[in-house]
Amino acid sequence: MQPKLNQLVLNGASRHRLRKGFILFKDQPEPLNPAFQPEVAGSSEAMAANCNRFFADQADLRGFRLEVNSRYPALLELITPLLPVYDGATRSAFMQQLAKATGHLLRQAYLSGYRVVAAGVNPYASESTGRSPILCADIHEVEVYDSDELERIYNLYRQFLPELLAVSANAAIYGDKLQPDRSLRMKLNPASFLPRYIDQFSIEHLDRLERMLRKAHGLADLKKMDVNPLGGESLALGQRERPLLEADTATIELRFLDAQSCLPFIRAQIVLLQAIAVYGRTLARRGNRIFPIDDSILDENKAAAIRSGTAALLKPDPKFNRADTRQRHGSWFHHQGVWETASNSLLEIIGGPCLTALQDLDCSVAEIWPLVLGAELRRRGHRAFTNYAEYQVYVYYTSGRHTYPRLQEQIERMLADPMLDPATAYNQQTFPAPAREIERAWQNKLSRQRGWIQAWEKGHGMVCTADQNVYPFSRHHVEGRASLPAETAVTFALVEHDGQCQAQAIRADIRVQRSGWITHYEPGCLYGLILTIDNETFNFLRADLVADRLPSIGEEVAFEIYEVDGPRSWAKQVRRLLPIRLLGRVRQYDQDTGQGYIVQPDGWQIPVQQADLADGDCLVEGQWVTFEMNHREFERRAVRVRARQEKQDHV
Amino acid sequence: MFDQAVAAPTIDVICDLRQAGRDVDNLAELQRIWPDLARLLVGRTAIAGQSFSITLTRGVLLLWVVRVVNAVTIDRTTTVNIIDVIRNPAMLYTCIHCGLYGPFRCEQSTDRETPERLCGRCTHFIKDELKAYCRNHLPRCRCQPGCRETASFRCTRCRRIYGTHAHRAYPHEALADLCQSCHLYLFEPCADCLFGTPKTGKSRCIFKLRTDARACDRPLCIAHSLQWRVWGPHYRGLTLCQAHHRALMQTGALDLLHMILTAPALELGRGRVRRVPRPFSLRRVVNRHLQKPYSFEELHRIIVSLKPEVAQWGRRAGDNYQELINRFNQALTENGQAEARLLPQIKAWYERRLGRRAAEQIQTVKVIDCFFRPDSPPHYKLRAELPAQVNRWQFIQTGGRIIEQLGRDLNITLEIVAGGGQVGRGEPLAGWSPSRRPPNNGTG
Repeated sequence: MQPKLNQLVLNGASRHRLRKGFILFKDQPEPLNPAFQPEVAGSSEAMAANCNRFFADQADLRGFRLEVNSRYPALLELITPLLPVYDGATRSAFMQQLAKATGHLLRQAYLSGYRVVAAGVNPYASESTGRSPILCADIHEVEVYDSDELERIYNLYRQFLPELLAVSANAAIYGDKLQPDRSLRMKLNPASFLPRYIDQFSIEHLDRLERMLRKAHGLADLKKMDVNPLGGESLALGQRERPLLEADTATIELRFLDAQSCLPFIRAQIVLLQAIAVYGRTLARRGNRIFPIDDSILDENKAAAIRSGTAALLKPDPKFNRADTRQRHGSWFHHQGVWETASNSLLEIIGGPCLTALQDLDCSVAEIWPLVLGAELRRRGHRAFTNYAEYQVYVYYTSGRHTYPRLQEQIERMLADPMLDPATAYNQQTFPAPAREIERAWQNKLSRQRGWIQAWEKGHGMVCTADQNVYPFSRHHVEGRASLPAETAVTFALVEHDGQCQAQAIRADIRVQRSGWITHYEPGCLYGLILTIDNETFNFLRADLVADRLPSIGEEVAFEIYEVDGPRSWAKQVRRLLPIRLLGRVRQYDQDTGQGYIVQPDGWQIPVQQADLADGDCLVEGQWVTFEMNHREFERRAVRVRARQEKQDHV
Repeated sequence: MFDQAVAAPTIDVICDLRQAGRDVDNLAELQRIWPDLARLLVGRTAIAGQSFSITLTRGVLLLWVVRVVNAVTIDRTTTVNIIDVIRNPAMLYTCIHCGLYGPFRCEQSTDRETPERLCGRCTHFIKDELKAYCRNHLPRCRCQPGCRETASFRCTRCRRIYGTHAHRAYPHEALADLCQSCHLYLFEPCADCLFGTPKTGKSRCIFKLRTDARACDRPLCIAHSLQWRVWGPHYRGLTLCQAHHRALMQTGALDLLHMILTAPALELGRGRVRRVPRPFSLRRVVNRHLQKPYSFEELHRIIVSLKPEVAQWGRRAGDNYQELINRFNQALTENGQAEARLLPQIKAWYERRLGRRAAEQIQTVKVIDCFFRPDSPPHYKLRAELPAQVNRWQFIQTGGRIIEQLGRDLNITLEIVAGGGQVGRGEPLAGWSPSRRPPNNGTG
């Protein structure tokens, strides 16, 4: 029995890096903006050194580091390594590590007489200094594997920028005063430029792209765009056959998100950003492209999101509706050609193009709860929090317009506790009944439905579920180019579109695959017998044979376990096992004994015997051969070994 | 609330099929090859961050281990999660040359329905442009008709495409590209700056005789470029170098006319160019540099005599010439009409001042020049010839008192010529000169 394939995701998440920003300030009854005080520089440097020593000592925090901004000593940046976030367990580990590192930073700051705040700007800084505020961001980096997916993911982030910005706004208070904008940081940021549409990205022609953007838009540096396509070690994209999982690699950098205090909210952001990346990756692998939204409209929407946060009314792009006729998700406001609030648009994005990706990410409702609950309640007419800028405003009004120290206490608790999310807790407690209803709806959305293909012809088909519900689907919602015959077990995402439920992202269900040898079968018989390497026997019916010719006794087959009924187990979908043909080089061969070894390029050795040579010739040391693996005997060995002439020239 | 790590022996891998030579794009296909693939993993050691390489006959399949939970050596109890399958994108369009993904279309491809598809490597681009060209339709350098080099950039000034050999960098501007000739035109040093650092020769001498193949074309800075004011003193004229400005005096009327007609068009903005001078202005311009001035009719004859040569001067010069001829013909007609109209008025004026006998001495008047100014009728300069025995003094009187009064009343300038050939106050007959312009000072 081979290792069991438990999960198979065709388009999965890549690794994620967070550069989390903090602002350091002196713990005083009326704290001043300490960025320009000379003593802060020494304290923050010492604090960073102490934290970095702590991170190096802790096995689970290896790769974490704390950096002090060279221009503003009060601005700290906690940088995580590139960490996997492809399922709930990995994301939990990510957040635990982040909380541990943040907790240590808080302790160190407290011992040094300082406090730490994570927001777009320092809410308690005094405006009387007359200097511009320190701007603090959470910079998320998403790993990319090649130029094609970089182009798609970048364009998707650009397309969804107003919604992502609106939900991440966290800078509504500055100088202990309420500001007219929800994200003061983005309003004042001098290094924030609208990301321009890139229709063809190639690292080899990067200089050409830079020239064209400079000529067309006066943009001198691509890295200053809100979505930076050249994050990390971007030149790695140009290297062929470069290894994956390197410590530093090419990433897309998102520079427009305000620093957040709430760790569950950060986790939800990570999930959403990765889901968008998975969607872009899927498009890239299918060869699809992304239709551009007009720069001026995107800029208007961005400005509205900075000003009003999730309450911003976003303007549709009229060209988007007409030209993108093949777009699957037609319920987005750009497709409909109607104005829409940023929170509703965000829900459309999460429940539309990102839904399948969220399912592939093994995302639970709890993980995206901070993003969807507030937006869903707002959609239903309730006054709920949809981002932490609104929560800041709430604290401002409920604490007698003196946010310090009440807000600071909440921020520090949130930074140390990976589960604490006061805004979502408030929403849930204030509107318990709608919250339960929303939770149920999203649980249904996020779980993949099981069913089977009922009918499929001329590009359209029907999927039937166990409770006899039938959902339509079209050809482009089937993953890959494989044909799914009727009765094939499938999983799918259920998406509501224009009041009608549709099956999308249809894929064949994973079944446990076994392999064995046919020990008994006669063409005239209706059934046969399969023996596995574990000496288990399975019966099969002739009707369950999937083959262009009938198998013979002793032939190796693969099958799915259909039913285990007492001593008799049944197999179905029995088909000939097509062994993978491998390539290797003869390392050692004794012509007298007829035995030797073949070695693969990575050093894996496989024994070979003369009896297994297909051509009957002797092998020569250094000779390139192709072969198959025999797993039937106790000891594995190469069989059907053939010399490969053309490869020998390269040795 | 959130998931906890599982304790069963598990490895999470990324399956990299980019170099495997297999086109797997769905779960079913990957599941189909899994039983044989999985057996190859048994016995191998899983270390997070490292990969299993399985060399197939058509390529290499890589399994990158992302996470390992309680499993060092893979055995039959190990659970494998494939968290991503990295694969080459689906080939919607194939390059006609190499078979790789070809998103570009050749600009010159004649078949609009099924255009030639090209990949990034087989495509030729003009710098900073997204127009793609295939190998069969490579654009050629336009530096000269026979040049076979492939064009690689577009000149910022003349907008033509050129090969790399003709590329010249625009000083202090990395985003602009110039061809050789435009660079020379814009940044060639002044030929007359003999001392110190030469300035940029923005202007060029247009001097050219009819027998010359090309104009002088000497690059000149502002200090050394002299203007031949063909369109009047307030307008930019034709640029000449110092030597050729002096040589105008020795240049014949035919060559002067040739230069005026073939000079580079003077831009007035919005696509308009300055037209050829009016006939009277042209006559003054030509006569200014000649020892022996031409009359209006003589100049007309000279211009007509140029007709056989004009065809060789180019289309614009031909248009200019035709316009000049038309204007001359029109001016000749108008002159006759003006003479017929003004002679009775002059005679009537003299009759009122000097009596009928004196007025009858003026038999004819002839238009010798005309000045135009905006919003005013043309100011004619006329010549009246008296019989030889008649004293012209009575028509002029001391200090030109009478004849100036006549000019003011009739808006003309009159010259009285005695039968001996003397004019006005006894000065020799001469062409018009700037010092003798009439009070209205028309710009011509």
